[in-house]
Amino acid sequence: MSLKNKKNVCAICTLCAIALLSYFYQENNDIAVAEITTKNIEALAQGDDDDANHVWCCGKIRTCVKGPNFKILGKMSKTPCQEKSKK
Amino acid sequence: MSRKIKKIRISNFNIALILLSANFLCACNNRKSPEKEIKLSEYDCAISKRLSSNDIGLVEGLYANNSDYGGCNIVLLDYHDENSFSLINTEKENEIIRFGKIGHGAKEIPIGCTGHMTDSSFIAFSDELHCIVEYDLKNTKYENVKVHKYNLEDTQFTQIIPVNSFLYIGMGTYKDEYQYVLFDKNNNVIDYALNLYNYDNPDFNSFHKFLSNQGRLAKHPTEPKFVAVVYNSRNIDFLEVVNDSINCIRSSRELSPNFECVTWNGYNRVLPVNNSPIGFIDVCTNQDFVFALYSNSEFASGEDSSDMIFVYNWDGALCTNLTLPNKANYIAATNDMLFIILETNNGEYMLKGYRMSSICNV
Repeated sequence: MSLKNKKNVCAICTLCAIALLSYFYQENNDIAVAEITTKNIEALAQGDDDDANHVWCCGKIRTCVKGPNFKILGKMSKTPCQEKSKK
Repeated sequence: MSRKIKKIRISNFNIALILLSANFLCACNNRKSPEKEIKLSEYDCAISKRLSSNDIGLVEGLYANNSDYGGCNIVLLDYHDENSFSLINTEKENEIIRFGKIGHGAKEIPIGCTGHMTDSSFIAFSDELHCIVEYDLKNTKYENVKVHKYNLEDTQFTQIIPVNSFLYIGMGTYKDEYQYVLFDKNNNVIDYALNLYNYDNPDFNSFHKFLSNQGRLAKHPTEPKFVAVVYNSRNIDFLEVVNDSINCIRSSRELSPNFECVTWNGYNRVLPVNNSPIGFIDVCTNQDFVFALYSNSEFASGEDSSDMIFVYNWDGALCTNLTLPNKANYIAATNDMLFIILETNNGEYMLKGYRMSSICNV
């Protein structure tokens, strides 16, 4: 095996190892914290045509939506969120 | 003639009787009106500090204590530069210290942590990572962090506050039935107290119960006394931890939240029904009083601020209705000052401080 091939095999092995580690890390973190965007809560309301069910999750404190092993952060609001958080 | 007089006398007697009955009925009403109503004006404002939008993002909480170096320390829940909290001093210009590094590392916390401020530290908690993190505010590097991991079954917490070095009290849900849990550092549940307002409502699943019972828990500065308010309600509980048990000083549940439960594709949420009030927004305490920011506005209005503060004593009695000159988003108190933070029309924030002497001569 040439030196170039050895390097390629080594690189592929490293990538596989990183992918495996990432997978197990995700598996062990039982709660996936969702970033708060206006879109994801709007997506939740797509099932209903009723305007009353359209809400936004604004900010990063409080819990707006929850289920087994996940939650969407934010304060529930009837009006669209202001994008003020500094990243 | 005498008959007429008799008739008139009887009718006067009837009116008197009706008035007396009405008086008795009013006396039986549980809602006690406060002894005082105070309106603050701009003249009463002792501290006014503009917080530039370059420095502060979205403020979602306010805490205060007295600094050893003069003035007051103010902590803002303000996710900024990958940190959760911003620390400012009322007497220092343009100095903002960020702490509460976001991440999953040993001394890091996830996004969305609330906290509790003592005279020397800020204590944040994460119910996702099951950890309580204490930042020493007297250490100027703000890297001196103590982390305690907890692991309790059947709990979903909206806030946790240490009672002492060994005990913690949590607000949220326990076994989908109780609102407060007392637990120790070894993960033993020591006591639990007070039913959730909707503990027996079959429309609410476990997630709905948690979502509908979120609120704010605050501690007395020195004693093991606590106060808790539930958002979208006029429910306020005063608690005390005595001999390793939770003692309810007073539970005032004047208006419980009115939610419709929605479950769609595994996502659970609760929606306030039309005309529901925003209710309690924030609560803070000092040695003598509890201050609760309350809004009568409807949820649909989208307002998240109010100029109305109910002032209670630690027995849970309403002492004063305080009206602020401006609508506040969040409030914080020390023994000498009441702080409010409010959003201005141009999207910036103002921090204002009022002397307790102008508020609480009750």
